[in-house]
Amino acid sequence: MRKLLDNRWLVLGCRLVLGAVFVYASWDKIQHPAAFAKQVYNYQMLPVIPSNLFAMTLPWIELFAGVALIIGVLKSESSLLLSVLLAVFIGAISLNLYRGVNLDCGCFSTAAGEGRSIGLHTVAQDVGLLAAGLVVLRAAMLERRRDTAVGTD
Amino acid sequence: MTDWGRTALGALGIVACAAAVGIVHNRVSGEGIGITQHPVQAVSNLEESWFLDTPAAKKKWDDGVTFVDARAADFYLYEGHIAGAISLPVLEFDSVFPLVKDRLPSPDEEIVCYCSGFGCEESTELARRLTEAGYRLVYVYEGGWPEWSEAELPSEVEGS
Repeated sequence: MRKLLDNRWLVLGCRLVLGAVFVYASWDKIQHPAAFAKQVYNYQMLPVIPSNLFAMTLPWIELFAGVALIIGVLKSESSLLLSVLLAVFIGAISLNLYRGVNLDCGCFSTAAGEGRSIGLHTVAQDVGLLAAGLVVLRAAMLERRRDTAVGTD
Repeated sequence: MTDWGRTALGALGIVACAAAVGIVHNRVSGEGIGITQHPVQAVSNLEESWFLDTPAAKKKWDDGVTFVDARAADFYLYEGHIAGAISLPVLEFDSVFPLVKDRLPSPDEEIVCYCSGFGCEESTELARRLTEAGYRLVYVYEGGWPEWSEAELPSEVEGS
């Protein structure tokens, strides 16, 4: 298992896929802040003001962290951030599935009715991305530890 | 500082930058939202509409305010609806509105729209259409049929 997780091609693939997915996911939300704020509010987890602040900030976190992963800078910081976000997404989707609420997931599109509804498939998608995030985070932390040990960081 | 501490601090730095850029972008963007503005209102542009939770909707119902069900007629008939609500499927607004207009209150009276709860768009769209049709006091009951039925408030099922 450890040998697999240390495979540089696996780590590179996870890093590029994760980065590309989040850059793509951020694009439509950045262009339509109000529509995305409504999608966030529909999850019924935050009151109006925190919901609006989250909607204004989240797409830019996704963009910055995604771009950083693609170009290979701030890898541990970006993969930590995206992994935390994915854990939050999984929790929010699962809670609303448990509540029986049917809503657009707000994953990639803000257009009403054009996005995918939440479901087990969206949870599975986020679990897969979280696994990729943790692979990248593990590799980045090991790299950082090595750099610290040899005094280059 | 440990490696994890430095990583967490760096991550917070990214969040701070993203928040700063996001707030500025929201302000200059034509599609931005006010920080205290209700997100549903921001999207639907309902100037005189109001958004109700379940207790507020129940109070309107007790006061005799007309409720309008924006879902497709099948849902209204077979899934059930708020007692006394009028079916006006927003997807068929142009054809159904003239048929139910006589049963609706005058444009100066209150009217409450609802659909399948948080996440459904029909109630805000119906409220927008009614506002365009001259109704000035249009409310949206956001919890809609799921919250109303879950609270076991007065309901009707017409089909079986």
